[in-house]
Amino acid sequence: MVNVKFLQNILEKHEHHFKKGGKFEKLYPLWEAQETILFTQTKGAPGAPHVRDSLDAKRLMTVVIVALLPALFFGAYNTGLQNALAAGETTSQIGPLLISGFITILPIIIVSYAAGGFWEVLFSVVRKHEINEGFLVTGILFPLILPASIPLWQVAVGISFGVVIGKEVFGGTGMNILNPALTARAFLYFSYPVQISGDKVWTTVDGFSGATPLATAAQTSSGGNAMDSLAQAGVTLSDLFYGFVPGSIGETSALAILIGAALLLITGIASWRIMLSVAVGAIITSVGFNQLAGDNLPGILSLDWKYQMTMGGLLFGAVFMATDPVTGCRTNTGKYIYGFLIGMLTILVRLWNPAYPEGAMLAILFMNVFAPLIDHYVVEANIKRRLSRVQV
Amino acid sequence: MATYHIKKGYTIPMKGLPEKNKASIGSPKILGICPTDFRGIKPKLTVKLNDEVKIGSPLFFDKKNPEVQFVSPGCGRISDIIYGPRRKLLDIAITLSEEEDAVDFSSFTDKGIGDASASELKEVLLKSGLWPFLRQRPYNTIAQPEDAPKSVFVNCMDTAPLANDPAFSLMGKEDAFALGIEVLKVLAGDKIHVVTAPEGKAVFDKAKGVHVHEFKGKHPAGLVGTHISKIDPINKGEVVWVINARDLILIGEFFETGKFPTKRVIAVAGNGTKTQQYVEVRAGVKLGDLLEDNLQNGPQRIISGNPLTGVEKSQDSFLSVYDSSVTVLPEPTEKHFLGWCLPGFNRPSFGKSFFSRLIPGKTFAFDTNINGGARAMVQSGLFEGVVALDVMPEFLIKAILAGDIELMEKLGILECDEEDFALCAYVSPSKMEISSIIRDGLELMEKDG
Repeated sequence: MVNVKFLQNILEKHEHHFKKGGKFEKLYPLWEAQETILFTQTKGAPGAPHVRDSLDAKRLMTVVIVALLPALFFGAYNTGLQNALAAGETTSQIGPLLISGFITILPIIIVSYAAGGFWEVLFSVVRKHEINEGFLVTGILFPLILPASIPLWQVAVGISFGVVIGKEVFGGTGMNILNPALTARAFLYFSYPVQISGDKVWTTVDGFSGATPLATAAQTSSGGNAMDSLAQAGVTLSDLFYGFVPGSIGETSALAILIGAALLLITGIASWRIMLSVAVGAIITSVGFNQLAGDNLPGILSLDWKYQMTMGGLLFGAVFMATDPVTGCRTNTGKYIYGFLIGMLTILVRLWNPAYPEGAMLAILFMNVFAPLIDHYVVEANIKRRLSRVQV
Repeated sequence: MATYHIKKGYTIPMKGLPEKNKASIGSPKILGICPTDFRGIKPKLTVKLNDEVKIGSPLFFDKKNPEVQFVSPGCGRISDIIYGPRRKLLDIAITLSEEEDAVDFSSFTDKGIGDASASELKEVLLKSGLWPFLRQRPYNTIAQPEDAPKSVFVNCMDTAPLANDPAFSLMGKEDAFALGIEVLKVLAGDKIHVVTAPEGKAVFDKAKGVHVHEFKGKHPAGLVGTHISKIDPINKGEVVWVINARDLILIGEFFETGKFPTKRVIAVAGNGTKTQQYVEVRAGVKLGDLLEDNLQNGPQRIISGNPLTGVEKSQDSFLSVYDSSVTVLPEPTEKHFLGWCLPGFNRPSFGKSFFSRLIPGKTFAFDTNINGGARAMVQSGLFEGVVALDVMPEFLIKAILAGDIELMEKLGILECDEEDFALCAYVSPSKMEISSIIRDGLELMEKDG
């Protein structure tokens, strides 16, 4: 074990400045945050139970961030890859692509953390509560659902909107109705559509047009076969699965997302009920519409469910966004319904709304709003069961 | 006999389980009683400092139910009466005399209970100070003598971590237990449920004419709240009486001897002690006497009761009337560098995000560290795994926090006690004080509901 006594001594020496009556009393949440990040604390349980589990909010959020790392690293690589393809450069070496990708996306992540963190700390100081780790997740989730070419000022504006309007106005982490990262993205999507959708945003090479697979599929003519359109554009199912396609930074690789999903499921941090039911909802809906596909209907209806699952933001949303414990359903029965409807709505938006090629973001935000209603009816069932006992 | 298998729950893998051997400590010089052990009463003293009392002499009564008397566990002089803030009565200490004398009810008990009426038995239980051992649900307060309970639950098991094992500590008390059951039958008719664990039923076998049930599983399989909800759930307006087997045995012993029983076998547990074992003590033993020369170095927390529901007490205070164990746990002193991101082979958890899960069966030296900072209720689905009642824990907790009495009742608070939710507070990653939230809800309910 590293000897870190000297660090502990430094902390103890300066702590009084941040305690009540100290010079920087107001900044106590900041002090507390760095202190609890460095060392576990020695606070005893205030009452029964006198022992407490080792799991805390920091551990929870750490696991989520680790689960996001495969998507982040692959996103960096793919960003480098798509840029190199657009510029007609060589794509054989992984290292330089990864580095060039990180050079593109690191500023986005830094701006997201800095701007989001500013608001988080400000609200903690004003409200005198501890800084919530939840923002560490939001701050990395948000860049991963943006195109690599996003202007940095939009990153700052978007995350500010997400954190303040999406979360803090409701009282902070745990009280919010909408997923803050998705709120931020939806805000950018409707305010600055030019920089976040269309064919020109997926690489940082000026003027290069590279449609996402979803957009390609959506342009299939009536009665056509969407898989053929994709094949013509050079997109194979294995490309989609591994993620060598244009798209938002963290969303393209189904494989990287599934590795993260496995970690979340093994540790029990995210709900398997939600992940499973999103997939079931999406698959049933797309298979159903496959049967309908015909001459007079949009060609994208013919798109196979395997393509639907690996394309766009659906898988990323199912694993990292729909499972947000705060904004999702909290009852087990509710989780099935909530997840199923997210999957179904995502496919419905993709198939029937030509204005939005991607439906996952809207479907999850929509179901965030309805989650309390679903829970309400599940709870009512428990209440009815209790009342029915009396009559028996 | 019916067997119930409780699938939910968690056995906290704590070190410090008491060894199954009975020790004894020297005769005490001082005994005491803490009126705060009795939930919901308003104690009114009937003795003054320096009064002489016998074993079984009344010390105070409940102003709300004046017939409920609380009696002295020893014979001697009232040597100290300790008040807390707002003159709350905390401790009454009795310095024992050389020769001890007890209030004698044998003129009544010698006749046997065969012909006694329920009201006669109630009267003698109230006068002898044994009535408070009968408790009721909802609210987990002392039973109201005038109530007619719909059933009585006798709990003969304990699944709490480091708990006193009744199959061991009550060995040899078969007859007293059977006699206690006979008393209950007169008081409450034939709806008596005796609940045991799969092992160690021998002590409770002699009880006749009762419904016997067996509960298997992890904690909270041994909580009476779990038993009631599976066997005979409480509806609005109904009352169920509950009593622990060890306390029912005291009632049996009283009817054997005519005197207030003063012997208890308690478990001394927890890795804050040097030796963990069962000790035979007098009721109301001073914790300092009990733990003399047995504490580990460093700051320790002394808990009357088990780690989940016990009460922190000082060495000068006394064993709670209802408790059958004393747990000592070290207070946290060590800070760990970057503790939240280490693999955590040494960090036990109900969840699955620490590597300690790879070593099943391993026990850990716990301290009282809260292990994190307070947050809003974030994670969902954990509470459902540790509450064995048919309630929705998160929604009930939220209703209580909102003070919504109507909703609390609909969500089943009357079936709950804080002990049923102690594991929720244990597992909560947001470090919410769920036990005390449930207690607040019950108090609000009792006052305004």
